[in-house]
This record gives sequence, structure tokens and C-alpha cells, in this order.
Amino acid sequence: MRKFRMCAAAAGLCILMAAVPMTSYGFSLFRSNSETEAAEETAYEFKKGDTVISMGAEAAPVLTALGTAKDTFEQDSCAYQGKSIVYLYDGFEMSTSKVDGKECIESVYVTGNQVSTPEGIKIGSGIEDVKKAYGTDYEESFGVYRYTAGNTELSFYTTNNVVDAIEYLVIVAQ
Amino acid sequence: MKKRGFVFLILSLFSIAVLAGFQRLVVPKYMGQVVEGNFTAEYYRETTPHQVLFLGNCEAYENLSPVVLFREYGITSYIRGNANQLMPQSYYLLEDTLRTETPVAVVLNISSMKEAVQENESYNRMTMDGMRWSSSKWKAIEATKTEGEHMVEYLFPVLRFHSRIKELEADDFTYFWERGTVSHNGFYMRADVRPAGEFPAERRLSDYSFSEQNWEYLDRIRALCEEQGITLILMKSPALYPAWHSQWEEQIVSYAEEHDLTYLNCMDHLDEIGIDFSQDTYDGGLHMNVYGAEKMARYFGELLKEIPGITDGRTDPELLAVWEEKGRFYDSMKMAQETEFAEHGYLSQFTEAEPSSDGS
Repeated sequence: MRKFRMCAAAAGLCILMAAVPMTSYGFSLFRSNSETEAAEETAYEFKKGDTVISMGAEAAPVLTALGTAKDTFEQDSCAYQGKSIVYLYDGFEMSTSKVDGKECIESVYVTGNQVSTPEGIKIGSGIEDVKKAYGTDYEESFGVYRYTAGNTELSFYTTNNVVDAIEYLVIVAQ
Repeated sequence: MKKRGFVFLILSLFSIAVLAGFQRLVVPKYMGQVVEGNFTAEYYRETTPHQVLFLGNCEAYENLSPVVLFREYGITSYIRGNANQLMPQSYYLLEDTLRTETPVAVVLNISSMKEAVQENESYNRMTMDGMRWSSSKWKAIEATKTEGEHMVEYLFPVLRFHSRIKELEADDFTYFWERGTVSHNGFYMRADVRPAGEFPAERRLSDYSFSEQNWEYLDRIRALCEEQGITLILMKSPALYPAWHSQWEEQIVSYAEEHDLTYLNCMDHLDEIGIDFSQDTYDGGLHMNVYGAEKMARYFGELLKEIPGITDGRTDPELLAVWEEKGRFYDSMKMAQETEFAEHGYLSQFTEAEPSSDGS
């Protein structure tokens, strides 16, 4: 009987120890390679002059290259679970957030027609110009045309088939 | 035989005690910069009932002062709100509340209608870890857990937080047995001031529809209130950012009209409320500070006092004693924060430490 109880206790302990890896902590040890593979595909990039702005890239060198922003807006997420910073430049805004302690580029939002995408599309361009520049492999809903490449989602917001907003957004791995 | 059984029992109890102690040590204490993780559990310390229950995300818990609501109108209230609290969580917290009391009115902040899914596991833990176990808690977790979250980790938080053993802080030992009260009936006090400035451009969305799940839980909240004879009021707090799109507003207005509900978008009543975004916000216009929250309480008090069933609790000696105690705690924290802000220009508890010149 004593031996049985000891075995039962040992078995219980083994089950508990085995259960530890079956947690989010454990699961994260076996992250898939898909997110690194996605980043390695060619992604859409925004350019301001000679400065290339890639989504997900470290922000520091880009901020240095772009020079002083017109204005900066910082927002702490609720309960300080993150901080977003938006840098306002002529014609576009760049948002960053902390990833593993580093400030990384989260998105670029084109706000004026004085800038264009590297493929030549700007606010005021027609949707046919967008399709000529980027092809027809897009998803469309409610007048928003979304293209995906690598870790970037490039969206063209249109009203009456005319682009009135452009957004580059990093695709966050799930 | 009996002796062996007794020894086995003692050993088992000892093992459970050790595991329980370990769990108590490693779970986050939320007594530093982030205090929101204590809000849900603090409700269970209440000893007197509440006539009004506020539900919602940070727009609920940062924007109205229950202490002023009682002081000036005698209306007892509690804010069951949490950081990024989702609609299903608000519903289940309402269900949880109804196990022990039935308020006269529920004020639901509808800003969380725009959140289809939880963006960060931390918000779920802060909202739900403090709930007492019941079918409501189980269903809240099932409805809102993120990919990678598991029910067993809520049943046994040690499975989720055991790795914190490598990151323990002084607070984990200081607050091992007991944590202090951090809110004022669910209200998060900030007496610092950061005036509103410029904001980024309002970003377009491809789809302004609220999720089916959020509509379902809004309906369930409405139905539960109807069933219990509770007056439901929908509200949107004053906030300059992020944008509350007109397309969202139209949907809420339409829903309120369809179901004959009062909906108050405070952004349409800023002058009446007296909100001054150069003085009444601690984060540049996203949330109210204590001054804005007190103005909101005075404005809502005028609305709430007209609801049938709302009475002036200041005539009840027991309630008065309880709320005077709450008032002393409120005034003490407000004075301490005002003094610190006047002296340093910030509140150290809520400010990340700047690295020193030697990099430490």
C-alpha cells in the first residue's frame, strides 16, 4: 500500500512537470519559421528621398536620416502595455512601437499628395494607375485595395476610384 | 496503517502549500506603474451595495469619480472596468456582480465596441485573473482568450507565471500576503496634467462594422438589464484620440434609438460638462485626470439622480460612514499626487525611470 501511494505521488509529480511545457511558455519554444520566411520575401517599402523606410525595421537609423520631424506624438497604451510614437513629416506620418526593447517602424500613413510611393502612386491617383503599378493580386473591400508582400500590407483607400489615403503596415506575426 | 495515512496526508498538504506559496510569489502584484491588474479583485472587498454600476475599458475607469458622485448626490457606484476590457468581459463582470447585488442603473461605455479581439494577453490577465471563480469567469475566459492562452493557466496561474521566478521584484515579497487598495471604487486617480496638443491624422478604415460578437454581447447586456429591471445607459467618454469615427457613432445612435436607450456621447457636451483639455487630462487628451473625472461625476449625477429608484445615500448612517472613509482615502491620495506633481512635474509611480548617465 505504501509503495502504491509513493508511486501515485511520483506519477502526480511527473504529470505536473510534463504539464509545464504545455503552456504558452512551452509552446513559444517551438515557434514556426513562417514569420522569418515572410520577412525574407520582398516587402513593400516607402521612400523619402534616399531614405528607405521598411516596415518592421529598426527606427533609429531612419529617424536620423529623415531629420527632425515636424511634430511627434507619443501614446502609452492602456496600463502601459506598450507605447506608440507617431512622427509627423511633410506629406506622411511614421508610427513606431517597441519590439523586444527596440523602437521599430510599425506603419507609414501618407497624408498629402506631395509624396508618392516608389511605384509612383500618390493621393489623387486613379485606381487603374494603382493596378498598373502593383498588379491585380489584391484584396478589395469597401473601396480599400490591399496588397501584401513579405511582412508589409500596402493599402490604397479610395473614394469614387480615386486614392485618398495610402498606408504601409507591418504584418504582426500571430 | 493509520500513521502512514496521516503522514501521506501531511505530505500532500505540505506539497500543496508549497505550490500555493510559489504561485502567490510569482503572480504579478500590480502595485507599481501598472495597478490596473488589481481592479477586478478590489470589488469583492465592498461591504455595501451600489446603485450604479459602470462598465467598460479605460474610458470607464479613468473618467468619472464615484467619490464625488456620492459626496454631491449620495449616489453609490462602482466602476468594473479594466484596461482594454472587451464587451464579453463587461457582460460577464455584470453577471458576476448580479450574483451579490442588483444596481438600479448600469452605465456601459461603448468605446470597446471597436475592439473585435484582444490585442495583448496582459489585458486579459489583468481583467480576469481577479474574478472569483464561477461560470461567468469560465465563460469570460473562453470568449476572449487569445491564441496561445489556455484555460488551465487561469485555473493554475503558476503555469503561466512560473518564469517570473527569475524576474522577482521587491513588490513580489512586500505584497506577498496582502495588496493595498489602488482604486477608488474602481476609479483610477491621476492628479497630473498634460494638456492636449496636436494629434496624428485620423486614419481611414476599410470597414467600420462592429464585430458580431460585440453586437451579441451588447444585446446580452441590454437583455440582462431588462430582465433585472436595471436602467441601461450607453456612454462615450470625452477623448480626443484615438478617433471615434462618425460611422461608429451612427451605429450606436441607431442602436440606442431602436431599443429606447439613453446614449450620451460626452464629446457633444463638453461645454456643459465643463471639460477643458488643457487642464482636465493627464495624457494629452486621451483620458481625464481627477479634475476632469470630478466634472464628469457632477454631470452624470444630474442625469442619474432622475432615474427612478436612485436615492440619496447620504441619509443612511452606515453608507455615510463607509463613504466618508472612502473619501478620506481619496483626498489623501489626491493631495499626495498634487504635491508631488507641483514639486516634480510628474508622478514618479507612473513614470518610467530615465537611465542614469552611467547607463544603470
